[in-house]
Amino acid sequence: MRRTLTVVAILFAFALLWAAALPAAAQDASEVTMTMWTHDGLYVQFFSARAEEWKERYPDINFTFEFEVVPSVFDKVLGNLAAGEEIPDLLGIEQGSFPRFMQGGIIESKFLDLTDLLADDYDLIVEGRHTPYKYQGRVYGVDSSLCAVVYYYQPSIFEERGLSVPTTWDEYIETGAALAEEGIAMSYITDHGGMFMMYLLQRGGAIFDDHGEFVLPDEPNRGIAIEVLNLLREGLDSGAIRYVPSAEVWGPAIINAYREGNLVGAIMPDWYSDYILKPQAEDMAEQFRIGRMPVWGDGDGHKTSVWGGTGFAVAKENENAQYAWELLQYTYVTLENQIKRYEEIAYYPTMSAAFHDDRIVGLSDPFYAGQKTGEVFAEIVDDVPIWYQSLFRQTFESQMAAELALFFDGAVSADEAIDNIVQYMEDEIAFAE
Amino acid sequence: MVQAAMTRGREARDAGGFQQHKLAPYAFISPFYVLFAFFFLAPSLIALVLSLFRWDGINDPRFVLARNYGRLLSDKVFAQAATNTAVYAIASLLIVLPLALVLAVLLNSKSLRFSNVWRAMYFTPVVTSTVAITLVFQILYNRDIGLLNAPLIYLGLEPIYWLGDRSWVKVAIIILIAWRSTGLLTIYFLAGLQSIPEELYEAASIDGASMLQKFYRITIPMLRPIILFVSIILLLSSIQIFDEIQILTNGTGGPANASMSVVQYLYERGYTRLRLGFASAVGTVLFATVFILSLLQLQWYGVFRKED
Repeated sequence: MRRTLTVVAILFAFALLWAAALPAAAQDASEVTMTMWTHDGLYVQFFSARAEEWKERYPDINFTFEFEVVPSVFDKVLGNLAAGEEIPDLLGIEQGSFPRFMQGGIIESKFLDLTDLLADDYDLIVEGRHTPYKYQGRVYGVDSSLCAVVYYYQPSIFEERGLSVPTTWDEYIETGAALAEEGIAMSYITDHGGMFMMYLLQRGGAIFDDHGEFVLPDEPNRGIAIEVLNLLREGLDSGAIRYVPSAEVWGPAIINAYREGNLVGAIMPDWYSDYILKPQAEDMAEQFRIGRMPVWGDGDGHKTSVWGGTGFAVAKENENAQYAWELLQYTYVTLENQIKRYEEIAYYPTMSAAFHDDRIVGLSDPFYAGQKTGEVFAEIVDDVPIWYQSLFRQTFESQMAAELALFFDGAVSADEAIDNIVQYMEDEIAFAE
Repeated sequence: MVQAAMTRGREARDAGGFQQHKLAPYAFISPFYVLFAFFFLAPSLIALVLSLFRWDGINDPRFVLARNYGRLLSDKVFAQAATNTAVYAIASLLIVLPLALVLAVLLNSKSLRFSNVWRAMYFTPVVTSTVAITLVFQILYNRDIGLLNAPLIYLGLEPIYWLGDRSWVKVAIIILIAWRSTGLLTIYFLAGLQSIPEELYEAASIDGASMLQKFYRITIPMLRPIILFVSIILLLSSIQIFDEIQILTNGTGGPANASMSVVQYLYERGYTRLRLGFASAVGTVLFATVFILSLLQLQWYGVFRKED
């Protein structure tokens, strides 16, 4: 009897343990917490909205989405990787910081190669938005915006003087020189390597090739770089272009200059509109329009250029890697959601097909007095320049910024500036070998 | 027999007590040395070793011997950053230190009314966030809308390009350093001034000494240890300046690297470009420089001089 009781008690205990363990196991399988880190709150807003829709695909799983803006996000992720700590399932890598993840092949060893996963969708996105996130020919990020460059301007300044909006650089300098007599500049330039790259890319130049090799010293790139610097010099000398040091370029001085009518506008990418102009110049609604970036008179180069971008990457060692990719694909690689992204957070689609949709080209923007701004981008989306990343991109940008400051100051000529940067880069590349 | 056992016991206890007596002071001071070893000595030694490697922080380091030092010494940007830092350090010693001393003397004056209010005001920059201060200064220095240029613009003069001119940007940073550091140093000097016996000044007055004579013959010599302490603190902080320049110049150290400090150079190379071995070499050179300069300062102030 006693033995029977003992056996029953043991069996009962096992049954209790099994019963306790079963729901726990089931609960583990149906509970998924996904994480995303970025530097921009708009991405959190858009991903959160899409995630709520996407999770309907998995009715048996209870998803929790921990999407957040993390200060110094790239330092933190790289620090976590160095310390063997976890990184988020999804990471928004700003293209300027992508070379940091190229060091030692970090991007390849820690993030998902999206090339094959994108499959047929790859060709739907313009190539110039893939290359900033390529490492050794493979794609590791899906971009958040077209980042195409346009001219933001105040039409009243031209209209009051009977001037038309310039379409070529020659006209730009000519119109700018006329306005400069009244102390008005057409746009501004700063000592930022990325801004120089923007002008260089439009003219058809390149700094690195698809293998990440430094090709600026080679022709035609060297000649194009000098040509671009000379254009900027001409703009500065004529007063068409105003120099603003990088310390002041994102501050209130520019907006104040718009308000006072001594600065017509800015040649900037699409993100400038909702990230800088609208929030800082709310009171100037209806005073701006968007036009095409001036082109080179000889017809060489592109209708536009690019600057900026944030590509979302998937941490491949995380257990949610598959879910993270699916969410990213749903959020960024579907035509419908690319259009929603524009409607909700005003980042232009990277799929050229989206520019045939009336929700992009037919949308009137009240800030631009009802202008259908999407039409401007529809004209240039297929001519977005392609450029390539390199391990030495940050070295180039920081030293080019120094050379630009010297060049704008008149301390060095265009040739000297390019020779100096080439020499510096060659020293740095030799040191890294 | 009992007596012998008691004697042995007392000897053993005394020996133990002696041991305890000998070890106790070390035990009491050990927390500092343990922390010092863990948080300063070990990282410094690791940095020294790391400076001989190429390392991105994630993959395996590669031994490169003194290549990092070779590149460092041939890099014109480092030379510029070192020159800029030297300018900040010298300007701090020549401007901030005397300014703090003069302010302390004024604040110590018996005829000054509301002295506590004045003292609190001078201390305010020390307890204010560096980021907030620097952002305010960024606006103050703005060429077109900055307060500092307002009088010049009002008078029809050409405004100063505080943050866009290679010379003026250094002046802008020195002004910021002065504004930020002077208050704290003034408090140190004030403490030193209050410890000078009043009788010395009274005796000097009886002997007919002027204010200036009292300052040079009593105040300065009596403040010698404080001056040494303050000058070392000031030198260290100005050589390690980072936050202010990083924020003021949007992380560029511009224009044309004209404001970049050595620590900013180290940060850019180490964290932005992930060259941790190279950054360690910069850190080692910086440490050696600060150490030697501090020793020279101590030597100059006679700290190592033997008393007769």
